[in-house]
Amino acid sequence: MIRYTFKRILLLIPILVGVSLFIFLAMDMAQGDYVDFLVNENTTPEQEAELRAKYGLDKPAIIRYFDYMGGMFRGDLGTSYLSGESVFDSFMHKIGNTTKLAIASTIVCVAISLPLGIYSAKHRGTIRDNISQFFAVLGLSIPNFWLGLMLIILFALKLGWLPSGGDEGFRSIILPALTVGTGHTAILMRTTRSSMLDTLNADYLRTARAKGLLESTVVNKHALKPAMIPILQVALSQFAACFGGASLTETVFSWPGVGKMIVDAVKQRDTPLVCGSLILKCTIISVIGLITDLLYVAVDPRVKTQYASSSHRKKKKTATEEEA
Amino acid sequence: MNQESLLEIEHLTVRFEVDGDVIRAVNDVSLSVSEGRTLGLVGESGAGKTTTALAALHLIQQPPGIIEEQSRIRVCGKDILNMNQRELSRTRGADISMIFQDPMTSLNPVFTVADQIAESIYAHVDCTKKEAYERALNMLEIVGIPRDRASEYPHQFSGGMKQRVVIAIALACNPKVLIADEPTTALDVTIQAQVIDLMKTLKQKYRTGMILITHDLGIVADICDDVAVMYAGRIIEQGTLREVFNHTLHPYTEGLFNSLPDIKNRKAKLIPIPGLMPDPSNLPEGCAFAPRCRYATEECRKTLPVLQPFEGTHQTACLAYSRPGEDFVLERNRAK
Amino acid sequence: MAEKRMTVAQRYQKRTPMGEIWYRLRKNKGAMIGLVVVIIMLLTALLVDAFLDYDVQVCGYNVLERLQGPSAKHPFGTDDMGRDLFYRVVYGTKYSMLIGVSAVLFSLVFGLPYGAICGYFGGKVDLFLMRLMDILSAIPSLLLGIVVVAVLGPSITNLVIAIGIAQIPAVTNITRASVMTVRNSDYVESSRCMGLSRLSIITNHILPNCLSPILVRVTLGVANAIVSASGLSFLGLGVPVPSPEWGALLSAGRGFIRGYSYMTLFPGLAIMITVLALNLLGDGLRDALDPKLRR
Repeated sequence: MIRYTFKRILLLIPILVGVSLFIFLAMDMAQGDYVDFLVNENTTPEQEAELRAKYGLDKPAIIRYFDYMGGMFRGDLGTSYLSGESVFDSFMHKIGNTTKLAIASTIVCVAISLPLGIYSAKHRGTIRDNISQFFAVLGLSIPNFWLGLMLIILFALKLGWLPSGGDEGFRSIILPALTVGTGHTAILMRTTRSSMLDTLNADYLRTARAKGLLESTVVNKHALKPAMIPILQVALSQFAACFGGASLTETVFSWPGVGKMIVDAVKQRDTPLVCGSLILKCTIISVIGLITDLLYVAVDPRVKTQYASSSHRKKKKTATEEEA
Repeated sequence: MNQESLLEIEHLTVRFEVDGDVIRAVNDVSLSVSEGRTLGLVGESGAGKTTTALAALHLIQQPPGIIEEQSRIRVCGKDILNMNQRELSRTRGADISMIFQDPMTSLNPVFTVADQIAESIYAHVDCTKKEAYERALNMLEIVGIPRDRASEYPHQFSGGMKQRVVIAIALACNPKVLIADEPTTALDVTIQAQVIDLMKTLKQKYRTGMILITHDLGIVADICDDVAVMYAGRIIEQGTLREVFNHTLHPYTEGLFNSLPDIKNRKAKLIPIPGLMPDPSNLPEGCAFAPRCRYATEECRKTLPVLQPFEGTHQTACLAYSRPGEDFVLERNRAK
Repeated sequence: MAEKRMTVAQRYQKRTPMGEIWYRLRKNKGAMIGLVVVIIMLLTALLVDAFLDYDVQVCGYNVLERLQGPSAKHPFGTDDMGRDLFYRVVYGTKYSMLIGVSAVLFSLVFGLPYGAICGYFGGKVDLFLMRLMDILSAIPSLLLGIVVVAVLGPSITNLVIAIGIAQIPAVTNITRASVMTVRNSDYVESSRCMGLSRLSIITNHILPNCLSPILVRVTLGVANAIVSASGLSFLGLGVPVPSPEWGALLSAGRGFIRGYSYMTLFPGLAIMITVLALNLLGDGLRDALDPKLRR
């Protein structure tokens, strides 16, 4: 188990190196650099060159990359061009908001998809099942940022119940969380439905009924617990996805999170900020992925004993691959 | 049968409707089991044996299953088909329980075996969870599983041990009626013998009424008192063990015996029954066995035979015996 | 139950494989509605230039009629330049469908061979190549799009490339997985025994068998690409103004969200309907192609 955890962390390193190299080279090839944003018609070429030297932009990308990586191994993720603040600090400033949003939207998502999925599975093949499924697909089909706009129009502008953006405490998080949460509902609802269908049709459910258990016990205990394993996996992978993919929602709601920060940083060619934030973000996503897999081991007795006997295992990441 | 019937099935008719197809799984089946007696329910796969058994516990999924109006099933005198949730859960497991066919899938993979047994006890016996667990451990010992394996999960057990856990669940509350659906098919021969012995003990010790579903006529001969033969959803021959085995009446039952190896006459050739059982979504008009029957006449293909009493409790559904002016005898019986 | 399986199996034998898939698809109402909508959208995309004059009806502005709400004359209202939003939304179909389809084609061109190689050869080749894909999929797709657009500059072609690249890992994964399943099957083993070359095994046996998951992926991928494209345009990184791409229309409407909310309503609805149709069709196809999943 410990060996496995260690191996997974080691596997993360080449990915992070690859991601940072890719970003560095791409940002170098991008049209214009950070200095181009600073200069205006009054800037002399000497001043411009001076600025370039100040940010190290006169050196070729590959040299800057090795400088940067050298710094990273000493625990320094670089300094943002724009704010002059260390990338780590900027990231830490914003990650709290992103985490808050990720947690809130996962709660919204689970609160909608779990009951809907169970309901759908219990009434499978009926009109009620079809309607629930249709709503899930609808949630998947609405572009997130547009849903955000519509929610703003309805709840902030027309009804005036909730703030339209910014971060003003609990009330501000409701609309963004609804936006991100409903977008993820379809996948989790389908996972719930299909794994509930698997367990609802399982022979052991018949055994449970034959024992004389009440139908509610049969469904909520004997069907739900085995079904929880894939559900938990997908829910966590979606929680991880909230860290990666909420840039648009954050932009729409002016939510001061990491996603918006990185998008702005790309636009301003703030390479160290983009690169450092991405590295931190990928690390977070991978750690959540790792926790998911370890949790999977802890929940499923079948896998647990497999670990106790031999520590090899091939079945992993099926849910996350499906989602991608 | 002078004792009171524990399980009475009358005119049970079950159909499944799938994608516009109507599958007639069980057609007008009547059975009864009384205290201390074991009924062997014999037939090919797909003959409707398991469906009949599931109906006895009202376990048929509806939809797609439909139990037709005229069906009556009484467990210890109570009509199980018209019970509400609560009555149903009080009856299942306590008055009637079932050993399922496939031990590999009949146990919930995420609960320990003792928990799965204790749950049944806790549901029916007035006791604490701890007492129920304690009784579950005893139950495991009865079926021959050491106590210290109680907190293991089903996947850590072999097939035979799982089957014994399934049996322990079914027996946990000393049910009055036990239905065993091919309890030995998944097991190897030595374990089979143990399971059969266990069932014999039950019968003698607790006077449990049992239905044993099997296609192994050897096991039927070993422990059953009565036999019912099913074909295409109908009972085609029914009687005591002696009646059915020694004075076989239906050509299909004869066919079953002919396809068994005879230990006394090893040179005798096995005679398989030609053809396949008809598609239950498309049953023929007349006798369902007629297309495969060597004695069949034109009439057999047109008229549906009904179960008719013969001698004693012996009944069969075959037109050959009601043909006027002919004293029909099966080839198997002619030699005698 | 054995009885059921038998009759269903018999019914299936009566039709050809394609006929059977079509039969199952036709029974799925959602998928059929989706198919009809998708066909309408594709036809609109192909024929819109014949009916609408781009310079006059789509981009020609009329300041006198600016910011009018929906009416009989302008069913979707007009924007801040007095352009008719109905025409603009209808014309936008062309961009969305074009970008969606081309981006998926782009991802197929790279993803299919890549995944096939990984799946077929396995072992170290697979391990190395999949690590490269892991890097690509570690970057959130929107961000990847933004970076690629930053490198190449905003234009329709570059948008297609940016979205296409982001979709490559998904295509690769699916191809690889299905190639692996087929590769280990007995009939591929037997053609190997008969001495067929690797290339002909891949093209004759493996690829045809991977078709169904890939077909599903294509449908869902187009839906995905349309959303991504509008997202990038919304951020101002997509189709340059004044082209009426749906995301760009939303982005323009966002500035007038107070008071003129209809400007954001209709382009968004257009995206939603298109994507919903594609998702319904994709789900239907998946169910029709894989009877095991049918519930």
